[in-house]
Amino acid sequence: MAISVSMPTDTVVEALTLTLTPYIGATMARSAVRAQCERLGLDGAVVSGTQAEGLIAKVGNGLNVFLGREKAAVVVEEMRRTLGPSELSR
Amino acid sequence: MKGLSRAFPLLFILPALVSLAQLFFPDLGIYHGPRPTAAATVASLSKIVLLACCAYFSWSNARALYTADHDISSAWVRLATGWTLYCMGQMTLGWYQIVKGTDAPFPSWADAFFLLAYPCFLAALLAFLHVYRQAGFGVGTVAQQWALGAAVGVSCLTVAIPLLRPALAAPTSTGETALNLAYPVLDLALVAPLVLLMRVAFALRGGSVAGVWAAVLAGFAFMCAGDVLFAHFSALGKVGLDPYVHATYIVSYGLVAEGARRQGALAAK
Repeated sequence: MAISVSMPTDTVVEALTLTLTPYIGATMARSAVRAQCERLGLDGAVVSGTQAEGLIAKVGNGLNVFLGREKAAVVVEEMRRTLGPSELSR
Repeated sequence: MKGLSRAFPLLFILPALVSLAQLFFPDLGIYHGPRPTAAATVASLSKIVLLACCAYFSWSNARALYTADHDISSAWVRLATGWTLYCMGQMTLGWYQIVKGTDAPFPSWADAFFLLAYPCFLAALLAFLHVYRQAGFGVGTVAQQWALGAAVGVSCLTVAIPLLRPALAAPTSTGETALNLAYPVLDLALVAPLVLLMRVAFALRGGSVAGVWAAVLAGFAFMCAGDVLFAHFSALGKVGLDPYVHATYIVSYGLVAEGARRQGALAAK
C-alpha cells in the first residue's frame, strides 16, 4: 500500500514517532525521525507521498539494528498503514 | 517459556544473596567445612554459568542480527568474544576453586583470558556507538561525544589515582601489582564509551530497547566496581570483604546476560 498523497511534515513525524515509541521510546523516536528528515532534506512544511515512503524506509532501515530485518519490516508496514488512507483523509 | 524468561534474574539474584549473606550470618554451615565450601561452589559455578549465558546470548544476537544493516552483528560478535574469553578465565579459576579446592594462584592463566577480553569489550562498545549513530540513533554531535568522553576520562583518572595508590604501594609481587592496577585501568578505558552509551540508553527510555541497554550497561558498571573493590581489598589484605566482590561480579554477569537475552527476545520472529 504505497503512500500517494502529500501531507504535513509534522503529521508524518508525529505518526512515525507514535509507531516507534513502544520500541525506542518517545524521545529517541522523535529525534530519530527528525534526524532522518534532515538527512533526506525534508525541511518543508509538507512532504510528498514518495518522500514519506523514503522517510519510512530510512527509519525502518535504522530500526533493524535493534529489531532485526524481519521484525523491522513489520514495523515499516505498520508505519505505512499509519500514513495510509485514514491519515490521508484528515 | 515466558515464565522461565521472567525467572532468569533469579539465576544471579540468589547466588549474589548467598555470597552477601556471609556478611550477616558468618557462622552458617555453607561458609565453613572442607574446601570448596558450599558457598564458594555456588559463587564459582554461578559465575561460570552466567558468563556462559552472556557469551551464548551475545552470539545469538550476532546471528539474529546478521542480516541487519550497519554491521550491528559484528558489534555483538566482539562482545560475545569478550564474554567467551571471560568465561574461559572463570572456568580456569573454577578448576582451582572447585576441583582442586585451593585458592587460584594470582596471576594465573585465568588473568590472561580476562585481560584479552578487555580489548574485545572496548571494540564492541565503540562499535555499538558507531552503529547506532550511523542508524540515526546517536545522541549529540560527534564533537559533543568526544568532549564528553574526554571529560569522563579526566574525571575517572582524578578518582582512580588516589583509589589505586594502595594497590601500587602494597607489598605484592610485581605481577600481582601489575594486575591489581591493570584491571581497574582497563575498566577506566571502558568508562567513557559506557557513559556515551548510557546517554543513548537514557534517550531510549520508555521503549523496549531501553531495557536491553539498561541491563547491559549496569552489568558493565558492576564489573568495573567489582574490579576496583577487588584491587582495593586485596591490596589492603581485607579478605573478609570478599563476599562483596563475589556478589558484585555475579550481579554484573547476570545483568549483562539479562540484557543480551532481552535483545534476543526483541529480535526474535
